Amino acid sequence: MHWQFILANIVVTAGAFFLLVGGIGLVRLPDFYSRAHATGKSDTLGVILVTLGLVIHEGLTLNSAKLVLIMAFVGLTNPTATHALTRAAIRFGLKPWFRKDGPEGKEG
Amino acid sequence: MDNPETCRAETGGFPSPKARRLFLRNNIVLFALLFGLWLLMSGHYDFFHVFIGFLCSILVVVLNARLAKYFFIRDNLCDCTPLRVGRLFFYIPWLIYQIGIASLQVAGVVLRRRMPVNPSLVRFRTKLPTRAARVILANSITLTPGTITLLLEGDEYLVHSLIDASHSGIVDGTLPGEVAKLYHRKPREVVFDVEVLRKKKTI
Repeated sequence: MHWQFILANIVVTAGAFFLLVGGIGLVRLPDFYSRAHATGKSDTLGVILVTLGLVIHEGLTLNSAKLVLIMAFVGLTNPTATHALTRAAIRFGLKPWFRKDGPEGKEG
Repeated sequence: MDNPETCRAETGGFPSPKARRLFLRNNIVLFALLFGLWLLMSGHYDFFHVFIGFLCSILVVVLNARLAKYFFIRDNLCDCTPLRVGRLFFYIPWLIYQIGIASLQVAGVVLRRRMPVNPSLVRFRTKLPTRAARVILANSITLTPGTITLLLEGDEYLVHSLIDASHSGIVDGTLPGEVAKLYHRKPREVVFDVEVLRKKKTI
């Protein structure tokens, strides 16, 4: 029981770390597309790890099966939502920022 | 059986008896999945709740059947290459492992003081057997940190990548190759016409 608790804590903390990186990336990255990376992406591993930690904490019960389902649904919907956002942006004509263009390339 | 019209009439609108069997099988699998989901989510295993779940699953399958049949015939789904379900048990852990590696790379770049991001667009074409395979590839690309599928039109992808290491797995064909292995036993070249764009005018 004890090792289970410790392992669950480690995994949840690792997940929280990736969610934090997602938040920092959202503030720091230069343009819409790279910010979409930060929100959609670090979240993927973050949510997977947090849920996995909860599964470890919970043990083999019906609730952990539901948590695994949450993981599956996040894995399906998260990329779909990110794709919908960025696709709308590129259809609208928003140009991505590239390094060689310099920082003035930020305008949309 | 020579005349497709008589064949359609005999098999209830399906192009062949095989298609009809496959459609029935799909609906039975759908029912099993729905009922399994009900049992998992409900947590009550007395007769009343299980029976209600049974009825609801049947109802969903029946209500869905006409629409599913329309798409099944229109997209000619019985001639599609079937998904190798067993391969998923290899593919999903492999994908999660790749997500882990890519997350660490992106985290390293985002947290560094100079933040050496180098965004680029990658355009490429694939040879994947079905539309579902293309969607699996697009979703897998977006799920992997550092790459987003911006556009998927026909078999042409436009991918935004945050750092150079992010799109290496696509350019050398590893990720699309794994998706192709979900459908074919033999590995093959699936990616071609790869272009890496870094200028505004090229889009």
